Amino acid sequence: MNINSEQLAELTRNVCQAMLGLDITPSPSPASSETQLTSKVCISGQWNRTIEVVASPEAARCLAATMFCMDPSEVAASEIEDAVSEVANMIGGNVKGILGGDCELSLPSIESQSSVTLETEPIAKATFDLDNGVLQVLLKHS
Amino acid sequence: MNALIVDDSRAMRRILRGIVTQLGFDVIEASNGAEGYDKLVANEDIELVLVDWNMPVMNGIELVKKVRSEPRYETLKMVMVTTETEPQQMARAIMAGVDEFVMKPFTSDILIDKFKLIGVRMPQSS
Repeated sequence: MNINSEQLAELTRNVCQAMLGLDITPSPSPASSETQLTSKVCISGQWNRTIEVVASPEAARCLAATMFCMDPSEVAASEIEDAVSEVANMIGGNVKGILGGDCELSLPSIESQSSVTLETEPIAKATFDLDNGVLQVLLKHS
Repeated sequence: MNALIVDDSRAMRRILRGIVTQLGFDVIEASNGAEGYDKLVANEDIELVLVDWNMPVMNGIELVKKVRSEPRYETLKMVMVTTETEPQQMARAIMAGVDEFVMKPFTSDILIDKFKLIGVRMPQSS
């Protein structure tokens, strides 16, 4: 069982719509070279996969402001990390559900990086425009 | 009337707090199952527990089993709110003793419907 980019995009849209009321639109833009916030969750067991949610500063702030019903200018860095991590957790859980089998989902981890490095070619990738920023979701082998 | 929210995600605790506060509950929070159990024992007026599955220290299933092993908590309403979406996981949670199971992502309407389904007494409507 694998998940393609269309399924990953649909799943991401569902998470953003249901939990945040955010309608996100697919974007052909690649992630920029500015500092990105990345949250990862890992699926292990019958399937070994990593889900990465990579958000530009604008997109990450938008997710947090929407999740916590705050003005974007008032969102703290810790709230931004919490929001991106929770989105990764929800997407990861849904991916795990689609993959099926006997698997465990890790807790989300967070990291900042100066650019998206595709050291592992993703199995599926979905990119969205979000508040003048970019939100990217990657599914990789792990 | 209190609701206990047990989730290691501050974001999710905040989202759940927003929903149950609107229903009139006072909210107590815990970031793992062990802390949740301690807060349950320390607060007598807890009517409802919302519990995540995947948490450090003590996970949600372990917490539910521990709580349900005590007769005094037999009628406590426990709802699991989790990213686990597989039917067999849902069955595990029900077997452990949760009253209902809510899969993330969810809307506030879905959560409130689940509360009604299992007869949660909501302060605002009492």
